[in-house]
Amino acid sequence: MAWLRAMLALALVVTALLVELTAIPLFHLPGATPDILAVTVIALGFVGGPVRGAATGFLAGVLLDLAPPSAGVLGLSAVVFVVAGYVAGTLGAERDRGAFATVGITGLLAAATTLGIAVVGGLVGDPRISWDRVTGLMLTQLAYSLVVAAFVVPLVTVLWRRVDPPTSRYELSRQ
Amino acid sequence: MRDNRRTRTILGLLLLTSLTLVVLSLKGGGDGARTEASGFFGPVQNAASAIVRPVRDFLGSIGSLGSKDQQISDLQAQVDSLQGQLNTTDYERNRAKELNDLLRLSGAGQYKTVPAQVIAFGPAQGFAWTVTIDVGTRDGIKIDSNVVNGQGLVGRVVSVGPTTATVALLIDATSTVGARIASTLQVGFLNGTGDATSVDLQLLEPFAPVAVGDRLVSSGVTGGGGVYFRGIPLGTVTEVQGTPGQLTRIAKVKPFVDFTTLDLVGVIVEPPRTDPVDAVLPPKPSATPSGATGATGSAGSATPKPSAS
Repeated sequence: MAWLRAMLALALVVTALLVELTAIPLFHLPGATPDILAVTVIALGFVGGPVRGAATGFLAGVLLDLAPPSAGVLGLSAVVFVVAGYVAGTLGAERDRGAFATVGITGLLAAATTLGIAVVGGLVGDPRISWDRVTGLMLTQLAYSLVVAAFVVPLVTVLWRRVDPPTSRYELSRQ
Repeated sequence: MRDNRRTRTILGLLLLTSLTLVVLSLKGGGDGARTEASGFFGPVQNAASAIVRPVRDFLGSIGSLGSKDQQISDLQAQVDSLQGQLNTTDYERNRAKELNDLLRLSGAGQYKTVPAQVIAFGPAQGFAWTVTIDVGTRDGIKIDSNVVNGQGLVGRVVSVGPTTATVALLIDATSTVGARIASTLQVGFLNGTGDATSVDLQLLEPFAPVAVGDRLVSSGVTGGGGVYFRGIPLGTVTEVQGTPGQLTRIAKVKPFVDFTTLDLVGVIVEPPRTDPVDAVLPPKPSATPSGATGATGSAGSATPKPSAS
């Protein structure tokens, strides 16, 4: 069933990337662009654990860095998303916390990726990083991501469980 | 414990791979990979954009549903569908107006342009102001092609795929455009700051006269950030910082183009045969913006003139 889960993660990441680049900008929201891709990576990290979370983050970051209209330093988003996916993975699935805490953590993590891009970009000398914009981007990202997470995290969790129900393997082995 | 070590090893490997990508990219690699990627993502983004636009127009037209009465909901549906038609008509009208503006600009400037639709925007948290347009090498687009819309300069093409191209906007922090004040012909460079509504003008001559309201066109001088044709409208000076003679004298400029609502643009594929100077600038407002100066309308319009003459 591992390949099915990998396919699901790939499909979710590509969909989130397309929605973030083509659909969301049409609404002309102020500040940051709601980071559906980061929220999806974090949600997959929650259900998949640290290894799958980091791997999904890597995939999502590389695709975001390669897909048009990307410009500038390649791999910047990959570094940050790997960490975001890993952290989400170590925090674990929703069962242990409750829905509100999960949405809150997702929002904070998504806002932290903006800071991460600025820090890593600043360290490697990306000329585009402007610290005047970081605070505004983080605050708007936090607000948008809370809303996005409220829908995306439950959706990802349901899809993940459907592709690989926790009990199915035992049932199959008994038959 | 062993599982933990394995997890950390994988995390370390993924981070190392990402950082290797960063280093390779800083050394100048990665452009080929982006062009390859645009070969795949270009058609996908085109398709996604074609799906998304009607849906947005439709969603925008739906009012609040949820009435109990069947008749009211029927009427509501009818209103919605009519409203939807009205909205799409508005959209078509806007497109027609944008195309007209583009035609006027390219006519006045004697450019030959290829019309294009913006299909994707780079996320703001990536700090780069870039967009994807739905034309590529198959339409004769090359790297460094200038991109305009009915208002003025939008940016330049930084990478091209078969059916899409990536445009770095005038407001991107890496953008530098050779600029000239239309009335005094003073030259300088217009640098993007990452701010969507303001770019910095740096004049070459420290004593050059510059005043609020001065309008800028591209000068055709190369400033390290790509080549721009002469005479493309850029923006209006909104604020002058520093005193004459100061080495780092900077004026804030508001671009003519509204970058947050970009939709239809034109890619210049053939430059003007003669320098259009300021023929392409939009007609100057007869009185200085009365909204900004308030009651002192006559005093406001008198101020910029001495510097212009």
